Amino acid sequence: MTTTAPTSAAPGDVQWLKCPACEAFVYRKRLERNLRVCPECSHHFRLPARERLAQLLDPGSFEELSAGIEAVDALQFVDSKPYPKRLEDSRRKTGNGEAAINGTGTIGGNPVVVAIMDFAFMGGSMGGAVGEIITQAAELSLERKVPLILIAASGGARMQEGSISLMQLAKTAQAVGRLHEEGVLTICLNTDPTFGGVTASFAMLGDVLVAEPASLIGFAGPSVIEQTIHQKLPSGFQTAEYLMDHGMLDLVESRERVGRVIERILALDNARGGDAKLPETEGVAPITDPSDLPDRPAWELVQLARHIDRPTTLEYIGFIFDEFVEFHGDRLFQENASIIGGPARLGDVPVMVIGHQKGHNTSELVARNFGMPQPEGYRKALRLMRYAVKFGLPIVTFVDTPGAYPGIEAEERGQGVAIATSIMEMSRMPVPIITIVTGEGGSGGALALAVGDRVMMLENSFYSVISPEGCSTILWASAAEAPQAAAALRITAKDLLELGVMDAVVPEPDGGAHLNGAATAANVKTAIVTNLQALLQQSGDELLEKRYARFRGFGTPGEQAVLTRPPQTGASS
Amino acid sequence: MSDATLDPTLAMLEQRVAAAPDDAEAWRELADELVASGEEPRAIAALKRFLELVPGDSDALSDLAHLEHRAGHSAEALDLLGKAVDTAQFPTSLLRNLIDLHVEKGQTESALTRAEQLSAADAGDVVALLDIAELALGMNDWNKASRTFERMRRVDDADGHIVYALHGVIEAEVGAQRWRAALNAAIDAAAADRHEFTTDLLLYVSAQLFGVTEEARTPKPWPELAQQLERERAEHRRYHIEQSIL
Repeated sequence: MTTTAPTSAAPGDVQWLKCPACEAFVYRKRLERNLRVCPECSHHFRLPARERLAQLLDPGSFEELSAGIEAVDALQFVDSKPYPKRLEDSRRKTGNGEAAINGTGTIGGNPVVVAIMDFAFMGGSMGGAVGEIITQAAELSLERKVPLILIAASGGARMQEGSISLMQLAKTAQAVGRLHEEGVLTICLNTDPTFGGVTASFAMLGDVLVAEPASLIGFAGPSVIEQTIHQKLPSGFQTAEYLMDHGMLDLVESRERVGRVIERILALDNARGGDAKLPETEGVAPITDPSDLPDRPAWELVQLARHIDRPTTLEYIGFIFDEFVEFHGDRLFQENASIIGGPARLGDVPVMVIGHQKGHNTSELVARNFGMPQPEGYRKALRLMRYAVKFGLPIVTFVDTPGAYPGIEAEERGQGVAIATSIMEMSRMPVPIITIVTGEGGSGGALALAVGDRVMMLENSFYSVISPEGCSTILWASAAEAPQAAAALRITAKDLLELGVMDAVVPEPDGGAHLNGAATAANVKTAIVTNLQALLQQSGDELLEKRYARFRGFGTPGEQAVLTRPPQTGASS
Repeated sequence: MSDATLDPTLAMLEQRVAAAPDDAEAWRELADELVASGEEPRAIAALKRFLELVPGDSDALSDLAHLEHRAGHSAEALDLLGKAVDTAQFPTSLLRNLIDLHVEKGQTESALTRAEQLSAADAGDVVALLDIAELALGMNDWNKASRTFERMRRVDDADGHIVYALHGVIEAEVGAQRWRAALNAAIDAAAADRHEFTTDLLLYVSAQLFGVTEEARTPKPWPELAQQLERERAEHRRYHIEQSIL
């Protein structure tokens, strides 16, 4: 059976619908042409399941597999009417056998298994049949190693099936769990409304969690919460945007865009493995011999590294990669804008790109907290790195931070734990990891993204255990000696290359990266591609062994290189 | 779909009406396409021409009414939609919007008449019952409000919605100061629902009957409860409207 877009309304059908959000009357045909998004206020009307499938999947590609899966009245449940009568009424009303449908199809030519819930059928409640439909979809996805798309719209577990419906949380969650173990991509599109036992099971377990704008998503309903805590809930509580701000969603995308975004994620997933090729590059090759670098005052480099016009991670991504999809959130507490990341393509090779993010003016810098991440930023980065490991994607990190944010809340939420965990897990990830320090490499906050197989830095960046100002204040009792501290700390690319902290230095155009972002990015791209080419030839075990040895050697007597040149304290030439 | 994609269709329809200015079907199709494209002033003109050719066509009257409403001409909209309802073969979908227009204009008697017409045509329409009950509450017609909420109790079988109907009965009975009836409804509601708001209503009603026996059981003031009831009705209404669109 195939799903097609709905045809024109029957006689007597409502032709003018009142938008529940802005209360404007909207012509049905106009609304349907606009994918059931209000043309006045962009409110996303709820969609019947088959209409959503028609919007999301390639035309004619859907093959339904769940016909005939129907609820069992295990409890012989009766409230104001017997459960079987309720089911019968819902079947008549929706034309569906249950509150979910599954099947196979394609999105932009990428094959998927899909399961979708229908809120019109008993509020999309999940009983045994819905759980079965979701689970069968997950099992088919596992068997065929084809990505699973789960589209939720539900009030929660179905009361009429009592504890059997509760068990569907476990049944569906374990089915998704097996996909995680086998590295099969799961994308959850959570639509308005998604609540209760569905939120507390498969709907929040995807590798990628997407929602439509203003969709209400939560565990307990807002009125229940309000009555329990005796407080008015904040504006926008439990909307998709609220959840994304609180780290629970990767993306909030309009109905117009959501299909294309999912298609990009699927295409990136499809591109892994095989004979994917890295791109040709035209940049200047990285420098590996310290004597090829000039001696320059450290303080001068610090100023350049902090230049407001220096390219940021997002700009490097734009120059170097294609099809980047930014994922958000740590899935624990909050989105943190000081670190950004997501999958992208480098040539034909899908990779995971992660980096600190600053800005070029005050408002951008404030929005990004000056590139100083809270613990949530590191937890997001770690989540994305785990995603990379799961799908075998190389990881590329860009480091540019004054340091992890030093604040009360950061300590309360475990800044140290977040950084430590990131360092440790990064060291044990069996995928190639390439790090480029592009500006400031501020201590543990930088290292949390820099435990790589190849660690490189831009010529005019620096990397240090402490900021020059901090060091000056502690050791000289005044920040005024920062230039001297910068020199003493040996934080320049030349020194760090000689010390072995860096594997290579990426040249910058004359005057610095801020004068020619495109040329700098071309050099960075060359550095990434040439190094990744070599790393892709190595097995996960080899990578781990060498990465261990790389960091094991630092400070080891007899292994650690010692600088013989004096620190560069002179003024800029 | 972009306007650019639609342009050829519009152009073709415009050619048709230019070639045959008395072709009612062509004018209707042109109007439909213009409304669907958001070309509302042109759609109004096309509909008016169509109605010259086919006076009293209820669908066209309805479309014109809604367009006039969107253009800020609510009196014309009300008049046109009223005519559309009275001539339509299937008036229920038009009645819903007509009730809203009457409410918007503060014409509660007319709104109530139309809501009762809708409810008579479709006994299962929960929103129509909500309309009648709310309008009756606004007119202090407690008997009608209470009866209507009782009907809703039988009609609205969505999970947990019995409580909304019972809360409505409580509100109507409180308005009528029939405390015993209010208490009965509150007891029924408490049996169906353990949320604190139901308990608040129960406390309020029992305090009116028996007085406040313990400080801990001092009820919330009625205006606060009434405000919460109004919010609950709005959520309830929105649920059914969204479900009807699905």
